[in-house]
Amino acid sequence: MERKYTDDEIIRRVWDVLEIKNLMGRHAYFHAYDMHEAEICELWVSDESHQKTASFGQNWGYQVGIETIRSNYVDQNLAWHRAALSAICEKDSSVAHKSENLGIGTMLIHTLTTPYVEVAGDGRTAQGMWYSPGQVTVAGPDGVECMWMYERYGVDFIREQTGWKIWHMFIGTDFIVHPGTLMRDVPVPDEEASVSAPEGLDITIPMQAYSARHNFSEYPYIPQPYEVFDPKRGNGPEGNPAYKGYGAQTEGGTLQ
Amino acid sequence: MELYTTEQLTERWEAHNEICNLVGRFSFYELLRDTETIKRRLWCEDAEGASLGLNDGYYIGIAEIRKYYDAVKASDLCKAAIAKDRHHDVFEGKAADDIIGVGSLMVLNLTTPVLEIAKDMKTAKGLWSFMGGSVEHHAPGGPSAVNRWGRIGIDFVKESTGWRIWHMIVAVDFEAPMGENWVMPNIFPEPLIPFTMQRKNHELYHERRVYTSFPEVPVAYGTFAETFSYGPEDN
Repeated sequence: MERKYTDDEIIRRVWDVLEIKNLMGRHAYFHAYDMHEAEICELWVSDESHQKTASFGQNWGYQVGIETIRSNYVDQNLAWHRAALSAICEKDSSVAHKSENLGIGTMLIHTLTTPYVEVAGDGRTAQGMWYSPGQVTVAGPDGVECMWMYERYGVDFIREQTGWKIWHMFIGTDFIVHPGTLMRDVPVPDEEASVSAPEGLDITIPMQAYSARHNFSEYPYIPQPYEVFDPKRGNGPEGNPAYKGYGAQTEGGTLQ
Repeated sequence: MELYTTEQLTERWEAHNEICNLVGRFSFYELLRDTETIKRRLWCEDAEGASLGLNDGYYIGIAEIRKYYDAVKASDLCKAAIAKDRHHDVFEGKAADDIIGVGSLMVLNLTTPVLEIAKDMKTAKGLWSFMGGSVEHHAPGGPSAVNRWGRIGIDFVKESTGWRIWHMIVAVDFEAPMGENWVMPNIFPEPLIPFTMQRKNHELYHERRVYTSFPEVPVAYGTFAETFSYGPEDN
């Protein structure tokens, strides 16, 4: 039987959706502005129990636990910037090797469109889906690479004392193409090809979490109205139909 | 975290909707090249210090902003006259004003919103990312089609006629021919009319551009005095 809400509950649920959309907008800008540390601190879960199960998934698998996410998103990202800057400075002496130049020539935005947000009946969690037409531009010693990057976002949110926070985020990349390239010239992903994460990333659960081979993936799931959060329908690894269980580090093959 | 009553949340939700519609209207009236509606019905009438910022400067005061839109209209009329001349069989009997916008497609897809309404409900501020572009068939320099991406920061003010645009900053990251990358020199044409205040607000993308966090992301606030402005005073 469909739950009936009071007027007060309805308007608060409506406002929850607006706050979640704002939260995701902030995520997009903090990422575009290279404010990754601020993003982890302000937008991602801060309760210890939620931080243990926080996850960030992409085509090549999942990072689990906020410290793993932080070490990749903040520390490894900084390491990449440093390496790129050193290489650029070596080739172009007009570029000064200073912190203000970290990320020089980088520009990206993963826009968020077509939002769909469901707040749980119990009001404690929410799930959202967005489509992201984006662009990523990276500079190196040999020049600049520009890419259109189209992706699908599935995100679980949880309500904490200070408001809604990102709990599990999954981003499935549908295609990456250089401007001016015909899509028909982009190779179709090989069925059996292993999907490798960029070098330097620590992936807790390496797996083929998403593939654009058939231009169709049921996952991440379109949110449906729900009462209580179920990890098997969530955007963490347990919700992925290809998930076979965590490795030997945990009992029973399930995520702690 | 602020705690609002049911009535307050309802009022704030209605304001949120009205502002989203205002921004949507702005985008669609840009598409229709209807600068009259934009300047008369979307921008503020009474609020002091209205400003329209572009990458290289600001128009300050509603009178200057209206002059800017008049210049946009004059440019559109010029293109309409070219269209009329090229296709006189199609547009015979029509004045340039009747066919303004012919041959132009100006798309301003507004995405990735962050919108905060002040606690006092007198102002609001929002940030959007636009992925857009334009196609021009009848520009004096010849046909063109460009991708144009960037961000828009807007302060809104509640006037007697409803929510209106108060300060707007349009920060373009790149404007590049469709089908090409955006590393080639991004150069803006000269502004249609001189800026009231010339200032480098935002650089177009180039290979040596450093990260920028402009325009700033809105945060929840009580009154406008407690937050930053998307006008020139806080840039």
